[in-house]
Amino acid sequence: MNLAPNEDRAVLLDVQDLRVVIDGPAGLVSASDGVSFQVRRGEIVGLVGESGCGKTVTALATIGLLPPSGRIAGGRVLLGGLDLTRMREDELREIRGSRVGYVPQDATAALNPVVRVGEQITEVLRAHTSLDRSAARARAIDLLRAVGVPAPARRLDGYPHQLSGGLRQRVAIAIALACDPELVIADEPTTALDVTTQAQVTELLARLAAERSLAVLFISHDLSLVASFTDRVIVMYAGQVVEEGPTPRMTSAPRHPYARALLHATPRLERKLPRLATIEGRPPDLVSPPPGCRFEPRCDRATPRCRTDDPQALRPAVACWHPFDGVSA
Amino acid sequence: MSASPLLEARGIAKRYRVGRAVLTAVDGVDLTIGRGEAVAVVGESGSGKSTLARILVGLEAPSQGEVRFDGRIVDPTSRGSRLSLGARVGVVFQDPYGSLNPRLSVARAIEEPLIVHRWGDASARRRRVAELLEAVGLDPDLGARRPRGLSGGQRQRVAIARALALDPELLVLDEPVSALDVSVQAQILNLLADLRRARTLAYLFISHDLAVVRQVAERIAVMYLGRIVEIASADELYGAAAHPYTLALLSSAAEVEGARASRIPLQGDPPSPIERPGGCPFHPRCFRARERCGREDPVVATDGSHRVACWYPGPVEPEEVRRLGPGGRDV
Repeated sequence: MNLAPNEDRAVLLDVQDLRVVIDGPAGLVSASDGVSFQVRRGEIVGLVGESGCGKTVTALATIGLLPPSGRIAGGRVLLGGLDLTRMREDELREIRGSRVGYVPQDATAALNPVVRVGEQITEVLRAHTSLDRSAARARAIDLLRAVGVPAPARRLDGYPHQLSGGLRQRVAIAIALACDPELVIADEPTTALDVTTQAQVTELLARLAAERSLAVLFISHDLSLVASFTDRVIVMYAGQVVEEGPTPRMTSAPRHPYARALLHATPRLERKLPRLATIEGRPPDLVSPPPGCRFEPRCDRATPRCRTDDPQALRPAVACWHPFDGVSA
Repeated sequence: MSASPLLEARGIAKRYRVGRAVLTAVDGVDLTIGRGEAVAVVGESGSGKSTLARILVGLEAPSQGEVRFDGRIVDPTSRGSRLSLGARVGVVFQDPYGSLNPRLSVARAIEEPLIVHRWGDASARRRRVAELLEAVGLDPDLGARRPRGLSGGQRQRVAIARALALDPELLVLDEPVSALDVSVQAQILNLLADLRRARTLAYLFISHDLAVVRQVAERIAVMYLGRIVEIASADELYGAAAHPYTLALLSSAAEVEGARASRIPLQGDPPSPIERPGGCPFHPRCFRARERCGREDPVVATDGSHRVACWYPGPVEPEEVRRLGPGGRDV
């Protein structure tokens, strides 16, 4: 394996053994259960998994935005050495405005419906920078143009409901980038966007990473999208990280059976596959997860050991007792 | 067996009045679907693909043009035409949550089209529902459940079983997998492939996703601003696309195996179906546009079954790649 140049860069986000529980109707759900990973400056990391795997909860917990039903039950989240899990709400808010930008899945929820689009962007700029009104407005126009909003100056005076879903999403991305943050956490930010716009947004993130050392944690269910612009991929399953690695390897020869199944279930633009891989069954109940490997009931390679011994003990290596050898399948 | 194609649409246009303006959702579309043929219509939001699908299956009347199913004109205003079409065309929508009545059991949801079309007696219908559940890979015991108790993938299977109830010749699938997780999406795409192996079933598959479409379609139409700008067999389209918009779309789509080589950026702003540009509707965003493109509607160039509505069709030339530079020029 060749070392990516990113290995030399300083760690910006260091998530250590993060545990998040959500109070659900059936009891306490371990939505994020001992999750550890790092994001370096200028690095783009894809956090990939299917619904319910805990990727969104992990991201929300990282920046102190858990819903009232959820709480951090253990672990640390270090941003440039500062532990975010120990901060007060007002301190977190300052960090979210200036150092970390967050793009939620649903932009409609992120925007205030009764405030003009321009004000929502300039408000952030004026709270966290020294820009005056007209400079903030000019910067807002630049931001909107950068994320592909047509006729940006005209959009500033409109309200969110006057924009299409795709445009609202781009406004949310512009707000997250407004104060030139060190880290952007984006939760499926481009799912609602057209393919051509999606490519434009991911290229913008890649350019900011290269030019300004912006670090990006990009949460997605779409392995092909993640493959197109990230440096590293982390795969989550049932509240845990099962494998992580450099993007080229994770999208050609992942070693964990779940990561591999996910890859072979993904349709290809390059060629028609004779048959897509499927994964039978459903993820386990996270109120009382099984003691061994959480993927064991759905895994072809499982042995009795997988039912009793938790392969999370193997992390940061691949969390599997019988991993594939890493050769392209 | 009649010689006419299964579905034939000629000169379809659909315009809506929006205040004082006119929104043109579909603008002169010709499309034929053969018996047992899987055709996909691909486009981005606002391309008119869903409106076209609704017109083709008689859910909406076109402002212009006509649709023939098995040689007979489809007339959405006639109850007889709607009923006979309803028996021969099944429809599956994107949202597996919204398309099923939450108060009906799964079995009852699948049985409903049978009841509407007075198909068999109660016991024959029960047998048919069990058959259909099996055909879509669901446990017959699931029939007693309500949609609420099902996963997204199971719901979409129920929607497909229901669409298949009357043994239709055409299944119209409007973004049927875009709300599903990857592993579940794979199950549904495999199921759609299996269903066509077992019977003569044509598909009209509406999607924005060129990778998904590759798994199911034999022929692909690319729509832009209400028009089919290119239509070709799947191999032709993925291997030798010739319309600049198709080339841009293919170059923007993410590939699992390695990063995009060079994305062809679209110029300017996304189009508005209300203020349609003159000449070729794509010309304001086209990397190849010349003076003529803004003036004259392109004539359709035909090469066998490959049709392209462009004055300057063809693959991306090395000179064009150099001129456009690495993707992202428009950001």
